Amino acid sequence: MRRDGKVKKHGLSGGTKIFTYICLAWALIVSLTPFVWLVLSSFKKDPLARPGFMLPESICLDGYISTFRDLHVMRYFGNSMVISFVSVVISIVMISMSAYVVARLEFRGRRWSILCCILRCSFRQRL
Amino acid sequence: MEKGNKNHVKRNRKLGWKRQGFILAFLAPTLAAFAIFYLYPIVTVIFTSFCKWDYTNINAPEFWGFEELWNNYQYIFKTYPYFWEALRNSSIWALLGVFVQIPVAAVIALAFSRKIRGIKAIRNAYIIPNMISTAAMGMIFLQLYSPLYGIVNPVVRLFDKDFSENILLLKGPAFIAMTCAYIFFTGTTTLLILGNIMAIPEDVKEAAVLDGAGGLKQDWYITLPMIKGTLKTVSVLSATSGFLLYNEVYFLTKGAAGTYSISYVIRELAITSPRTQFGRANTVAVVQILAGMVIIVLVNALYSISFKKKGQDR
Repeated sequence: MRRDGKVKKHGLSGGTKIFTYICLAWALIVSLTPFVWLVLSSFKKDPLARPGFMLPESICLDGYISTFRDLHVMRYFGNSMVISFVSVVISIVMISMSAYVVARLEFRGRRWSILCCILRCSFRQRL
Repeated sequence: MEKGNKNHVKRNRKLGWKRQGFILAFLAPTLAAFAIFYLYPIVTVIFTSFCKWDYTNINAPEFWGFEELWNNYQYIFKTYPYFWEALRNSSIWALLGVFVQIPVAAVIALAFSRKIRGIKAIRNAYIIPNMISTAAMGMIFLQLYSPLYGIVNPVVRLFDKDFSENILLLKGPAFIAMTCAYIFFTGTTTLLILGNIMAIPEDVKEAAVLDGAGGLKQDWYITLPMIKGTLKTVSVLSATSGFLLYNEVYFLTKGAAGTYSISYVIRELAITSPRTQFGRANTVAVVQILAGMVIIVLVNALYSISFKKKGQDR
């Protein structure tokens, strides 16, 4: 805030600023560490010889080539795409229909149908 | 809300059965899917948890009879060696979900909500771990923890020169290592919270600044109470996903060194063990379902207590 009473719109005080930057740094470290490690070791000829975050001696693309040539990954990607596309379409249509009804209209059994939807998330995986 | 209700009543009289049909038609697909894909399996699971159903009679589950109704439960609670360990671990992971994951996610979401240059890039970067499947994430961490070429052992060696063990096979560290493998990736939770923070009207924030609440003070007194509904929802989600933790167990330790989880016990009973025991696996599943309901109730209670207190303070 400035002296003359005008509000400085998004000025942050020192403490807040430092705290925010610490959080952002943490977010970056957490999200990029596994990713960077993954990319680095994907280029290594022998990850055992140069462990950790050591740079690869030379960029080695053998892993990529054999992945695409020998492992049929494109077919697997295709399968995943089909499954995710179909499930997105079905669930968006279905869920938005009932979410509209539940959110906008009052009727008997409204709370029960919400409960049904919430209960789902407590046992998704291995049933 | 009051006004809205009156309108509904009016409309209700006007439309009558038409409106009822409309509601039913729109709810029907979801309810049908719920019945087919959730209710039916759950009823089956609960019923077969009282059945003798294992490798000897895979195709014909056999009811234990009322004399021995609790046979499977007795076996799980008393004889099965890993059940209590698994229940304890899963409960700890559920608690960590609420008390570590959610605060971390909320703090990061608050940081993301500030207007700083380059914030969008960081937001996008933060989602990367969530685009990698948990299975792939498990593989990555398996290698990060590898005693031969991982990055954890070199760090430990700075303090203890002769350390050469696999961190995932030590009781204690293994649990911590597994927790670290998933708990900090709060991408989706953070996104949900961030969305709600962004939805807070700008004039509320400006009013808060005029009253002398800027920065962290504003976050604590204005922003967090305003998004408590979302916080509650994501708490339920992360508690249950902590309780159901499976992929990390499967890829990192396979239950070694005291890291069984309830989901992994179910898999072991139903599939991995040479003597398949579907009935007993379903017993554990019933425990899991009940625990999921308990979690929902507990989280709701927790939020109503903590936010009520805060309201009284002010």
